[in-house]
Amino acid sequence: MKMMMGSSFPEEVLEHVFSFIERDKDRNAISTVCQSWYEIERWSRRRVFVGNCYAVSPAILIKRFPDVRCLELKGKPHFADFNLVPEGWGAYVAPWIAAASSAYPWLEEIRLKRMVIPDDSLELISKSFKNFKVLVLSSCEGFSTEGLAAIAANCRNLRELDLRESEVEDLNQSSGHWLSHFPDNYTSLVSLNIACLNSDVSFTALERLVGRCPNLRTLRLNRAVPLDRLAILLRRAPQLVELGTGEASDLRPDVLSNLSGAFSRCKELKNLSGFWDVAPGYLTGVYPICPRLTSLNLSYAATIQSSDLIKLVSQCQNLQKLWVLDYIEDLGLEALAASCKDLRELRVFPSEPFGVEPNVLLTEQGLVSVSEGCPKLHSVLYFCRQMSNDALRTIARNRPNMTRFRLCIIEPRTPDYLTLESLDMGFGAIVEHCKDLRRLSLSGLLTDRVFEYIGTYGKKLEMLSVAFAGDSDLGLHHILSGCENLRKLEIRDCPFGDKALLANAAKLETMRSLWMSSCSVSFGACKLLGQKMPMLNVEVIDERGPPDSRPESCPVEKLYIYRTVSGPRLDMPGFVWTKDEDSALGLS
Amino acid sequence: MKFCTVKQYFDDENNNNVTNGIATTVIPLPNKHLKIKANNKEMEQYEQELLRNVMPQELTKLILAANYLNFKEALDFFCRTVANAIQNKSVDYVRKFFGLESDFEPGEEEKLCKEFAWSFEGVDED
Repeated sequence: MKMMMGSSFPEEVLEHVFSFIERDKDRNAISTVCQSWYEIERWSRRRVFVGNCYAVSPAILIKRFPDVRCLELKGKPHFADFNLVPEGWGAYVAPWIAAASSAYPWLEEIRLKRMVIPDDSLELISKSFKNFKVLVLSSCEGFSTEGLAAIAANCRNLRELDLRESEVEDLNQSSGHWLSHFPDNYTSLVSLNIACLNSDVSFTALERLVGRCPNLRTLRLNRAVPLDRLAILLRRAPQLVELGTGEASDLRPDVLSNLSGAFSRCKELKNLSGFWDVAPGYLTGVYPICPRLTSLNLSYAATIQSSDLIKLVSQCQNLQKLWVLDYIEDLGLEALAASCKDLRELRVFPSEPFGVEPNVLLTEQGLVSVSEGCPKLHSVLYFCRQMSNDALRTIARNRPNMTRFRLCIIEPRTPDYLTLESLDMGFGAIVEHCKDLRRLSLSGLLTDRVFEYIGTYGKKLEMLSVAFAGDSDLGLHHILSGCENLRKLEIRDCPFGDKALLANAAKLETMRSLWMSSCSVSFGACKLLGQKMPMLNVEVIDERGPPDSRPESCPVEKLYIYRTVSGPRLDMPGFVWTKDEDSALGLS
Repeated sequence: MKFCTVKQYFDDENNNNVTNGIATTVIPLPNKHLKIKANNKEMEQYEQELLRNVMPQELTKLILAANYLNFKEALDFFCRTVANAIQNKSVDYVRKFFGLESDFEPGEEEKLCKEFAWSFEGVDED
């Protein structure tokens, strides 16, 4: 074993070595080498990621890392996206911003996901951090255009403002005008994503902003910006690399020709999205840039049908990422497989998820074609109505390089449509062949057997989503005892109960979080778990009143368990119950 | 500038840290670095060669020399080499590599590790 004389290194040399070490895992490792390294590392860590905002407190963060410049926090569990987390549950970022405002005057970047951020916090951000550059709010809520106005007005060095999929309240008095709060001499914008805004923005302000920011590379507009105005913006910013259009329902030849001209002048454009209600005729305007496109998001283009989609994707030979509605159908996916040999990621969304009958000709065959034709495909999200074990086996054999596989067969408990058996074998093939699989979502008819396969083969699995599957506690036991790298497990509507949970209590400390809803876990087991494992917060979400007021056998509605170094949280709403049910927090 | 620093260094009789041999290695290095800067793969190979052929104690001396001589390119290169060597390695490996021992109180290291693993984990992939 090599041995350097580490103890003879002066501090500034060690700092210099550390400056080349960026990954959190590596920084964490060097931090625990010895006390002096711990000190040097913690003073020089600039980038911190907190995967669960309740796993640690702002005070602990600041004490450990005194000079953070980039902070990323995640709040609500993933199933919040499916409305399973009630309003008022938590994930409030205000205490973090308040603490950071005094501790980190040089903070440059804040990235939040599924958190609640009030306008006050946005204003505090805009006034506290002189060198603030990046604000990304992903699936966040609690703020309005007033807060955005404060950011625009005060953040002189802002590079990135990205509101992806957040819910923004639009207050009448500043409707569309928050953009005008960017001062006239502000020119540093690089990335702007306002696609989620429901209301109008002031086009004049937008045009002037775009025109005076020469480094703008990403511009994602909201629906309200009509296509005829888009050409104007593109002429002001031909250097754009990523563009999200607004809506474009009426086809007008003059608009089309203007747009085609503008597009063809954007030589760097590689990434397109938007296209709400776009009239298919406008797509011809996009054809000239298709060969350059690496990323295409048509998941809002509800008006483009299969034949137009085929014409479009057939020209995108360099496409790496495609998000599309199931209007693409099996035929379109075949065309994709034939033309886009560099495809890495495919997401197919349902156009009519609540319809009973299939409305499109999209089956398992489409996914099989892409798995055959695209050797670099490693990330899939696929909504469909039928699947077979055969198809899954074929996909697994074709794509052993798969890392993310999320299959959503729309109707729960749908069997293999050819054999009427469960899909255990098919998913078993996926986990067996795809040895680097890190993310998996299951669907269809599944017994405990599939979990045995997952526990046996899913050694690199980090996140698993399960719904309407399994027969007994054995299923849950297989996952918890087998999947060594599991970090996040989310389960709904499965017959999993107390036994597996209590038998694998220690496992829960090795994971970030476990979500279970509409399962068979009793409140008694939750209390016991909370008592046995003081480093876990075991939170029962039940809107039916105190769990103790119901019979022991009555399962809890929802359960969220996560490891933490900062103890029970202090902001639990009345419908969240813990083992300390008799405390004031539990009564409401 | 570099030339002046070197000259001054050799005039400093009290300094035993840098032998003639090492000064010879350090000084020509930047030229090679600049020449093959364009080719990353060659740089990587050179880095590997360096780690294999130069004894760790020598590498330590090279780093200290580069630091003393204020040789930015050389220092960057050596520090980056060392950083790459300890990426994706366990704490024990890093300790052995540097010849260091843990001086944490019992339980303290465990507490730190827990805090890191539970709170300040690696970034999620999208």
